[in-house]
Amino acid sequence: MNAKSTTAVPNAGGRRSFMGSLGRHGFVWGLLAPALIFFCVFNVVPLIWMVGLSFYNYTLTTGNPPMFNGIDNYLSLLSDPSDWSAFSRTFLFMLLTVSLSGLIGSLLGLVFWGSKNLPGRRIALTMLFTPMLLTPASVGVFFKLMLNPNFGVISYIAELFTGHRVDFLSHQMSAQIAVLLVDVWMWAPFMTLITLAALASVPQAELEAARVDRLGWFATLKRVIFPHAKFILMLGLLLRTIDAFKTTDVVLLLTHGGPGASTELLGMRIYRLGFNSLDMGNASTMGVVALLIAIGFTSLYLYVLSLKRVEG
Amino acid sequence: MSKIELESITKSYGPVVAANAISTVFEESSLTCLLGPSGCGKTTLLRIIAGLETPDAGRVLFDGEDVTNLSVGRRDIGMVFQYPVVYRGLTVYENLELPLRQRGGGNMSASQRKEWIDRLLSILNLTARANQVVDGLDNESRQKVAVGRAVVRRPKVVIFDEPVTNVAVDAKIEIQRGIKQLSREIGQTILYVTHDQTEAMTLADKIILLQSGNIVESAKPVDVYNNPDSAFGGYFLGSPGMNFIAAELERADRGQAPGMRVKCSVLPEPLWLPADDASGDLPRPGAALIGIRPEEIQIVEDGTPGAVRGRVKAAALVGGGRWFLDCVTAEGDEFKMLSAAGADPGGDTEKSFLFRESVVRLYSEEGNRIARALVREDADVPA
Repeated sequence: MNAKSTTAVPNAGGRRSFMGSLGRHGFVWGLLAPALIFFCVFNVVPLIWMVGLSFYNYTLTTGNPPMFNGIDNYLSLLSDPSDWSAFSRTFLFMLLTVSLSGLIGSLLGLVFWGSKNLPGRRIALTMLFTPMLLTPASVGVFFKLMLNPNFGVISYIAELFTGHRVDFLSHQMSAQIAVLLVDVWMWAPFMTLITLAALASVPQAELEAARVDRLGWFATLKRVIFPHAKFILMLGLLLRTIDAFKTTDVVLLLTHGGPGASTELLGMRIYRLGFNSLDMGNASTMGVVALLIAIGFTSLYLYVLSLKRVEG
Repeated sequence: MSKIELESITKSYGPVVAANAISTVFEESSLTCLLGPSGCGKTTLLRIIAGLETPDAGRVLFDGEDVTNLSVGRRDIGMVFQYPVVYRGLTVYENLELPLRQRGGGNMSASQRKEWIDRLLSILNLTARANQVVDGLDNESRQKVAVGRAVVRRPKVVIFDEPVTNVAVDAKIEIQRGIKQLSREIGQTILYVTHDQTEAMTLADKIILLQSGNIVESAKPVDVYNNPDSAFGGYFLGSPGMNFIAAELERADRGQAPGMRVKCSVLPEPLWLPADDASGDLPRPGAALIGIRPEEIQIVEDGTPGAVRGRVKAAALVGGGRWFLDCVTAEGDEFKMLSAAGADPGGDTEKSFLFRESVVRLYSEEGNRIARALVREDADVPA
């Protein structure tokens, strides 16, 4: 193909060879076009729009056109305590949900790994993975119904123990715990899956050697399982971290950030600023900052991936 | 250090029989090689002894004690796998020390422990690397660490599952030397699985040859080599393996002595097989096989008494100036031989071959040894 094209375009100048290569690759571009167009329309353009808006004062309720105000939005973000608390709340939430779902998920993974011959294992695994397969929005609705103080099953069970109806979502602390636990419930299975994948990467011979050498369970975990499983586990935890950082849908449907701002995670805060207060400028500014943080986590993820390539 | 006994061990995987009622004894402080082609059941047998597999039937005894239902950890064994297993993040020394620090790791004092590990490290040529973290070691050194760790508790038996398959030749010899030394110096009972017959010949006190889940040979290496009980054993050991040439048995009593005449194209004169001294049994007349090793055949001057004519079909240099020859007798029986060092005998040339009658072995058509000395028919009848 190369030889043919060089004879077809003799003494080709820069422009002509560029056009020629475009023609040759026309088929390739044609195949890529739908995806690229969608990517541009729904990702690149809104992204540029958002970055631009973050330098403007633009509140829809005032009816004024956007006014360029430089880095004022960023400065006000730095000085606004409710923005700060959205950030700190989000990081605390990330820490708790990642560690809890990581811990519970890995333990379940170990249990399922150690029970390969148990009857009903497959059914149990399938059931375990169900929460992960549900849309977060429907999970939010389910739990909102279950936590409903009048007819929710969880409230009913709580009444059996406390003697009175409990409205979990109307108290700050219990609403926060509810959001956290729903998220853990939804994502612990993901960590179970990751753990099972990680455990499958441990060579059989090493596990057998550990039994022969009479290693205790802790020594086996530390010296045999962990060195092999750590890479996949780390990737799983990082994916969970990136995901937890973006959590919005469950909060939106379960508590809408309330009561007050007690469950207002970053995504929720941006949503409220943009769609409730219609303050597009400040919402965009927070969006940009959130994006930069997410890029940070993603780079870390890619860095870890590259480590494995060097090692392997 | 223990005596290991197997009683009618049977194990199948679906239609494949990996062990067919195998009974044998591994003597205390001996090094036994389990040898056989891929899929003969040697690894299965090893894993049953280790407790990593459960037999369908039969018993495993350690020093007379039934351990068939004991778990791996309670059997007191050491094991070295094909894949070098080391415990990451620990030094070479700490790897050897780890089993001693576990439950049932013995009760050596700290100084005894150090002395013992240092001795193992020196046998395995690892002293210089004692304080190196194992993660940075090459496969060869890792396997040496695994060998040391397997013997460090002085378990009842140490099991090797093709340990040098994944290491380079130099290291292979070094590891084999280390294993041999461990067996000799500390009297460790060792079971060693390999499919490499040379390795088995070098290492073993006793070779057990398996074929399709059955033991076909069980003897000292030299005996398995010289007097294999089965045609399979003769063929499997040696490179190239033993030649089997069609022979004919017919009833031929000599005076009062019952016996058979053995005729074969490589024997200028028939040989004579006396009846079994004790039972007086004689093999069935008809087709049989003559077994002779390639190095027991010589090319001789034409006209040498007892030589038979034949042709060299092809020749290949095998090193040390020796030639591997593919030959055929005038009557069309094919055989392989190794020539003495010297000039290329050339392909497709007529030669005279001398088969040493005194070492000729007789096998039934099914490949079972008829283990009696053959004599020349004109020789005096043995008293």
